[in-house]
Amino acid sequence: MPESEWPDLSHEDLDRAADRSRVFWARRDGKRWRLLWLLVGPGVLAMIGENDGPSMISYATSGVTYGYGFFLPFIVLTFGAAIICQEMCMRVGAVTHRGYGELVIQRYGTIWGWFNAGDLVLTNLVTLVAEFVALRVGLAYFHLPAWVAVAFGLALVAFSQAGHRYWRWERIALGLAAFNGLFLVAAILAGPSWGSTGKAFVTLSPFPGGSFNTMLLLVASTIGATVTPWMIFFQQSATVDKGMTPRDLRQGRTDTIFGAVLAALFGCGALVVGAVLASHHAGGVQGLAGAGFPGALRNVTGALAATLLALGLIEAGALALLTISASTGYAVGEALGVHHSFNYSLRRALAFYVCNIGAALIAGAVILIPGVPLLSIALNANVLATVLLPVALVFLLMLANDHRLMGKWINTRKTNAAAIVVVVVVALSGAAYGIDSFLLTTHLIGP
Amino acid sequence: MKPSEQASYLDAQDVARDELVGYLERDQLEVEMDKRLPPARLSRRSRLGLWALRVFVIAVGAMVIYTFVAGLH
Repeated sequence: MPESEWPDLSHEDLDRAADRSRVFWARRDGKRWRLLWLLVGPGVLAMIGENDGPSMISYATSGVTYGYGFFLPFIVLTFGAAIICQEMCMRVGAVTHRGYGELVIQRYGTIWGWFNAGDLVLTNLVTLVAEFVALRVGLAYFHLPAWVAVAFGLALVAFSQAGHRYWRWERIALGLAAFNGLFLVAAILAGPSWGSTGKAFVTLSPFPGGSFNTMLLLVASTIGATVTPWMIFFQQSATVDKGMTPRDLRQGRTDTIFGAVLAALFGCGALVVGAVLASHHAGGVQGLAGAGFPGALRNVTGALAATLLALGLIEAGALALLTISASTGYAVGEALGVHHSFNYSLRRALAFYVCNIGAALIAGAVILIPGVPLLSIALNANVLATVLLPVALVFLLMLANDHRLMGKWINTRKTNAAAIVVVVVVALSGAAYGIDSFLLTTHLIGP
Repeated sequence: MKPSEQASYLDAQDVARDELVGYLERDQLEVEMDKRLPPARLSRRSRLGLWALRVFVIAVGAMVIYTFVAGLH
């Protein structure tokens, strides 16, 4: 760009340019692994961030309720759906350099934009409560009280933002994400039936029996555990904040797929832990909610696997606190049209930082209320996310097909076909659970 | 800092700034990202479809929330 054409440069521009200079040199010098290391982040964080407290509790609950079987391959399938959606977010972010909420407001109007942001803030608040639940359950295993979970969570959110650099925030979050692998290690240590695990993947069976409504709840919450509105907001905004461009699409796809593979593996680990508990008749879901999954696992397999599971739950809650709080900050910043980036100072992006930590603060306060039904919140948070997801997905599809915005990076026919299937399945599963539960609750149909 | 040193320091900063900004695409600059995009033109059918989607989501969302709240009691 000629010097005469330079606009005023902000501090944020220079920070982002410094990050981009490292990408430029890694690409020019042909250092493929360094390039990938520099560009990995938003995809892995969205995918593993969604292996959060309620998701892992939901997977483990599926394992306890149905054992090995249908839900193992179903988790893998849902992460396949997540790849389709998240690749679109990454691509739209890298091409347009704008967040999802911002694009929806500017292209489709304030009402639609605020509806999406409102959806997101609501589901994020409920989900953040569930993240503190996971932290609380994990820390309770080490005999630490609920207020420690709240203080730890809030301190982590504040600490990660303190540097006012996206790069620093991302690397802290990625460091935490590595510990999601503890679920897989715990599953291996718990001594699962490898035969049953393999059979489940090959035959998709045994298919779940029992209450139709419970199965619908678990199907909807499993989908809600892998494809969610916050992931869409987060990955697109993080891609923009990171400064990715169309030249980085290949690495962005690798980042997304790598994150999905890891998340599917670790999610299956959580389900297998539940299945091991079921095979030892360790108790019903509500019973496990009281004692906590780690406590139940200790009685069955010993302290090591249980300790790793407790640490895994702490990590799942902690990482999601960071990513989901961030998506709240991005969404509100984009809806209000104010600065929203980790590269800004507190003074320049006050609303972004206040929403980021404020959402965590409100959620933390809820779990200190005595007698709150924690497991129910965790499962219903995912279901609510599934019900509200079709709106976010439809707008994402429209953005990815917007010629004016995307140019030659527009969706292919195959991507559109796959995305439409995902939207329909998500909408149907959410609707089926919502309607069936409502009819049961209002006694319009019998159990 | 002497005036001559200060001048060379500022020159060096300008060079660094010049070099750095070259790593960004123009529409990645803050001043460009702050510009609003024009609204998309939606067909009547698209608008109706979106409203139908909203009604669906509000109805099903209300059912889930009602069920959850009823479950608390």
